[in-house]
Amino acid sequence: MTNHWIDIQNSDCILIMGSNAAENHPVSFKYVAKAQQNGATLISVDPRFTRTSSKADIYAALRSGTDIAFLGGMIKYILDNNLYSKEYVADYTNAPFLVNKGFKFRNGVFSGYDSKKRKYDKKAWAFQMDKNGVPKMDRSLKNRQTVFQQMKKHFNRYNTKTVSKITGTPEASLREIYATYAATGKTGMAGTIMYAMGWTQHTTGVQNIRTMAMIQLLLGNMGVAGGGVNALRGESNVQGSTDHCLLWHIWPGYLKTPRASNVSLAAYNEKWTPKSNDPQSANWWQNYPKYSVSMLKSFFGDTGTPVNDFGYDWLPKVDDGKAYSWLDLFDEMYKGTFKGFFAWGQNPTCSGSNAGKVREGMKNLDWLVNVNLFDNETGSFWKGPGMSPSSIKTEVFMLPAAVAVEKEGSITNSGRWMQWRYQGPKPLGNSRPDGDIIMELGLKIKEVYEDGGAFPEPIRSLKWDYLTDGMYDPHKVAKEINGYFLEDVTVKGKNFKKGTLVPSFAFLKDDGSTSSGNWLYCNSYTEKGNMSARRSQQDAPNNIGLYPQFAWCWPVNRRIIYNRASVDPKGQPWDSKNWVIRWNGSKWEGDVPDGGWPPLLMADGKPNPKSKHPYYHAQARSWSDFRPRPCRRAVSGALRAPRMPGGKELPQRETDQSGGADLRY
Amino acid sequence: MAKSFLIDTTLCTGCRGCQVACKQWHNLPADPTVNMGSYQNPQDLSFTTYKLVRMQEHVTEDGLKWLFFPEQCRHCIDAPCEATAGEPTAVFTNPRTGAVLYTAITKDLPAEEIIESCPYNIPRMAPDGTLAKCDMCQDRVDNGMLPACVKTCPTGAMSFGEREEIVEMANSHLMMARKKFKNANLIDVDTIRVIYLVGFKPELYHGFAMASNAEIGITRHMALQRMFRPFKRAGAQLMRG
Repeated sequence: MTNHWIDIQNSDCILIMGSNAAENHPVSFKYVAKAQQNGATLISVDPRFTRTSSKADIYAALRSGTDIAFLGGMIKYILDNNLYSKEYVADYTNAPFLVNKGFKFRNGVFSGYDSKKRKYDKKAWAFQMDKNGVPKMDRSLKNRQTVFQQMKKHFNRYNTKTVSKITGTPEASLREIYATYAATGKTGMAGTIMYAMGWTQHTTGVQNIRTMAMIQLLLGNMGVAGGGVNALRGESNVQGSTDHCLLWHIWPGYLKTPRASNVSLAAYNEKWTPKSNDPQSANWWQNYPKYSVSMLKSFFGDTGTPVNDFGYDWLPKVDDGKAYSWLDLFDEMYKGTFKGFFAWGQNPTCSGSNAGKVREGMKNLDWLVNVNLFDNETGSFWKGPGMSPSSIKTEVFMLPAAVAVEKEGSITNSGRWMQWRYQGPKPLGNSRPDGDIIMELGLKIKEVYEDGGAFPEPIRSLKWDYLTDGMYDPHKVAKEINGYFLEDVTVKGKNFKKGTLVPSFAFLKDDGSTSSGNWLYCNSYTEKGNMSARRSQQDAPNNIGLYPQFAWCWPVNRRIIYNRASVDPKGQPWDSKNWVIRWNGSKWEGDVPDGGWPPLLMADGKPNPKSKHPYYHAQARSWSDFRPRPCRRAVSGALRAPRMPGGKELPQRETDQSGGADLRY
Repeated sequence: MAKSFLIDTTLCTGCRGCQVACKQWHNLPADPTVNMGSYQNPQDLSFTTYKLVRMQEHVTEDGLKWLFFPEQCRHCIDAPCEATAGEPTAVFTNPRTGAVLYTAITKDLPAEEIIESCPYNIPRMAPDGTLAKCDMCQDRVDNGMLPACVKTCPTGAMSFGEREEIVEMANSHLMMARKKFKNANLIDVDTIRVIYLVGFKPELYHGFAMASNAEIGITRHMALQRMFRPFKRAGAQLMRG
């Protein structure tokens, strides 16, 4: 979510599409109901009439998979009726940018298409640059080559008649919904979208969400209270696991997984660090090398040095153009490419598509470790339907995991809030927390590699020091994720001592003098303490439900991302009642501003050269849930006979042997 | 004045959190169910199900309406079941909370008659004849906690507190609801402790949502029971001696 759960209450119009929030995110309806009581309209668009629809002021059905047509019609409606937020669109989006004249769209195909390779050459689609390499703009939005005019032309086809034909939604319903939602384009009004897997799990998932993002930009709904593009995550820590790189194509903090063509750290950083010649571009990702180097320092500690690229070569690279996602992995397993598999907090023989193929694939393994609360279809695949146990060689190990409440650590909710949880009851029987299992697994693997093995350097060099009194310590991991100063350093005029925690990612360095396991979480555990364990119920001065001292929110405790767009160019809020931030003449008040520089215009209306554009394109990244993910449970388990690298036994964590007779409330 | 509930069905999303919380707090087993083509599950209250979100679909001039009715004992201010039972060791009202409570002694009473006397068709019988229903989470309430169902409700559809506060809240919720639902109303607000706010006619939610006129008046049978109550009580005390 660019915003967060409580903020839904500030909305004037809530569109729920691709989600059945009332059933799957029941608590969200606390805030939906509040918004409705304050006069907000709730719109439910779903092929099926759901419990969400039952609470909606307006419901419309559409054919499954026709969301883009539905939303495209809304874009046309907004543009045709001049309902977009003019100042916002001209100043805060790339609508005024001029596109090269080579960009064309004919017969459903964009220019540069190679039908043999089935690929686009996108060179002709680029922005026109001035002599300094800064994109040319027309803030009046009238030039035919502006993004705005091109968009107008592109969406001209999406008239309600055509859209109705594609979606099956009656034209009258389309018009009613378009008019109601587009009314939030008025200054001071906010509309929000709540979506979930009804959008992400389509093959056009990314495009569904991008289309809605365009609507939100046109209506000036990004960065404001009660607005945003809000992905409702399916489990309490899906956001956390995505942030910490559950997916194959990213490193922690949405850094890129290196490709084989990124042959050195320098080549990797060069490839993925965006450049801008506009002195007023924030271009936050220019700091990319600070984040990547700090992450490597966090992985490899003292053994990572400038001489060995901080251990960059020790990390796996993916082949260019090749995918390693869920389906690809099981495809390879089916072909017998790999021999071992940890099924950790998941049940692929049930949750994977083509479960039969998944089960066949598992027959090709030498070993399978099932880490879960219970035995399941994955751990017992060998006795499933059509299986002949005597002919299956796969050895299956079951590691019983502790449930969420039996262990300490953090979860990150959809609203990006990292919340610390304490241990409640002790783990049952011989079940153990995930952290214990991973910690010990790492120690055991390091022990095995002491005697050699193929490519032992990454394993031997891995910094693996998260034990306290011989036990896995979640606080040590949380601190490592935040990051340390590894030397006495001066950054931005401030002195920091070696061994202290980095106060925020603005202080990270690309020379190896800082570590941070995930730059996005830098600021979560500082010398002031564990920020995610805070529980103050005091609201911020703007009283819009930010509760800034309750838990901690990435990035740098900013509760509403892109909030620099919630104010006019002089820094005064579009919405004076539900304001997010405001410039008081010398500093910002309210939420943590998305970029601390002063407003674009000074009080007298002259441009402030010290300011930066709150453009989205400069730092647009996958904050929200743009990709389908295979599995979203993050639970835990246990290994037997824990040993220190020297062969010494680890002390056992105290567990509850009572059989869990009294675990109620 | 004791306690009351407000159940604002215009805010209920039918999530059934209350149903689950009730089972958990009372440590009750699940009832085996079959798919009946509705999300309502189980189909009815039972000796082991005190709380049930009833679901009804109606096609109106204004489109499809899917109505949710989180049903439970209404804890009548003057409970017909208590009068019919006429046995305070089996069915009695807790004066502190107003909860109408059943004990294991209900086994010795004519269960069918007691069930029949309930205008809302709430009590359910075990095979051995014992009766059970919602107990207003007496143990929780006596310890300053909210009933489990109210505590778990995510949308604010359920509230619990001192009766005068709840009645006041019901009226203010009603004013709010009428902006959107012109037929919104409170059900039997003067005679029961579980006040339902409905957006549509009560009978659209459930046949027993509201007490019918015939049932709400005191029947001849109940009047007789009342007359004999003091004697029965004295008799019971003598028996216990």
